[in-house]
Amino acid sequence: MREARTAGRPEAVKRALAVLVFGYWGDAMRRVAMKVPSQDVEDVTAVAIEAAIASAFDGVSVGEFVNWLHRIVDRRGIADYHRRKEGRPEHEPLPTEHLGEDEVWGDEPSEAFAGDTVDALRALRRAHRELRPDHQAVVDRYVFGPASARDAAEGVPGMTEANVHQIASRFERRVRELTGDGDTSSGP
Amino acid sequence: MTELAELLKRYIEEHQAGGEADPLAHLERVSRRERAQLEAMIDAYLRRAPRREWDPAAYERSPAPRVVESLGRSLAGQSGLWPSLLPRLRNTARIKRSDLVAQLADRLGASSKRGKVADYYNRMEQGRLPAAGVSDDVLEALGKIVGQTSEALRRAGETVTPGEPPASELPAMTRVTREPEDGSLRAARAPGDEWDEVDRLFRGG
Repeated sequence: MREARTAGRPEAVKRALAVLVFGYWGDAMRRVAMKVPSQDVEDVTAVAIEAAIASAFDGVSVGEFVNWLHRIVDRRGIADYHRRKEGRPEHEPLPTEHLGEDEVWGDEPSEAFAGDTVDALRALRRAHRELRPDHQAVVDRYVFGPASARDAAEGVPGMTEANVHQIASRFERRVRELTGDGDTSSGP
Repeated sequence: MTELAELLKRYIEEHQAGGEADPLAHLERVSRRERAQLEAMIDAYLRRAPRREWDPAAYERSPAPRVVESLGRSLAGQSGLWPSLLPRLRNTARIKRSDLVAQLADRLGASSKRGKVADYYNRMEQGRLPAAGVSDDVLEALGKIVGQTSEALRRAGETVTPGEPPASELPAMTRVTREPEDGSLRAARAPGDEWDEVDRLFRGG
């Protein structure tokens, strides 16, 4: 996209933009929808995607872009929306020197999120960090991915289907401990 | 597998099958505390979900074309994200462009030159006015009308490194951003092309 822009090919830039915006619009909007009133979701999503693409244009690689986009959605989209509503100044731009960090769990959640969700996000991050790498792989594939227990086990050397269930249960129990919820019963 | 993990699994299946995958519909099925945890789990999944594959028909039905259009103007223009941001702020503030221009001219003390203010404002929305040349006075006045800080407007104007279109494609006035301190630019202008206060506000930095 950068090359097309430099070469003065606006139609090529537009096509690339279309693929990029369409590719991430839905999931960015779903994330925003969990934090922002429905009437403002589309605008907040548009602001975040525009800011992410425009600021990434000067040096973020394709691999870095997804992390970058979701950090911008958190800060310039969701958090700034709530800060404006509260009459507080918006966040300063993110420093681009941190773009290379490959943090799959994203940026620290903003203080603008609802308190319970901050706790849950932090608990997820910590519980994930506490796992050994092969157990992290199981959680990534089985809990946060579409894989069945059998498929998740097959993708990790030495892992059995029973191990997968145990690891997933321990992970969920640890998250509940970290959120201060020892009661594992569920229900509305 | 616990109920929350089951719910997340169902959400992921719906998402990967190309369904609506509205997280709110899934969150409604659990208690408040569990809602926070399920929300965090869905959020963590969405952060890493693969990019949606290109689908021209779905693209046309989505809000994406509008974003692409305004982003395209921003990337091709000289005004950063103003082509995207300013119309949206104007719509959110529920103010017509003509009314905004009238208020802007009044706030800048340029009521008698409303047409010129309108022309400059239009260039800002179209990405045809170099952002660096627009003064803080203009951005403060504009920000008060649309409910945005002048700093945020400035930042949006500077977000994209201006493109470098061939000089022949630029209107004459957009080739100039700031008045050099030595006055050389003023000396180079054609007779009768003197700047007035409105020019200085929108082009003098």
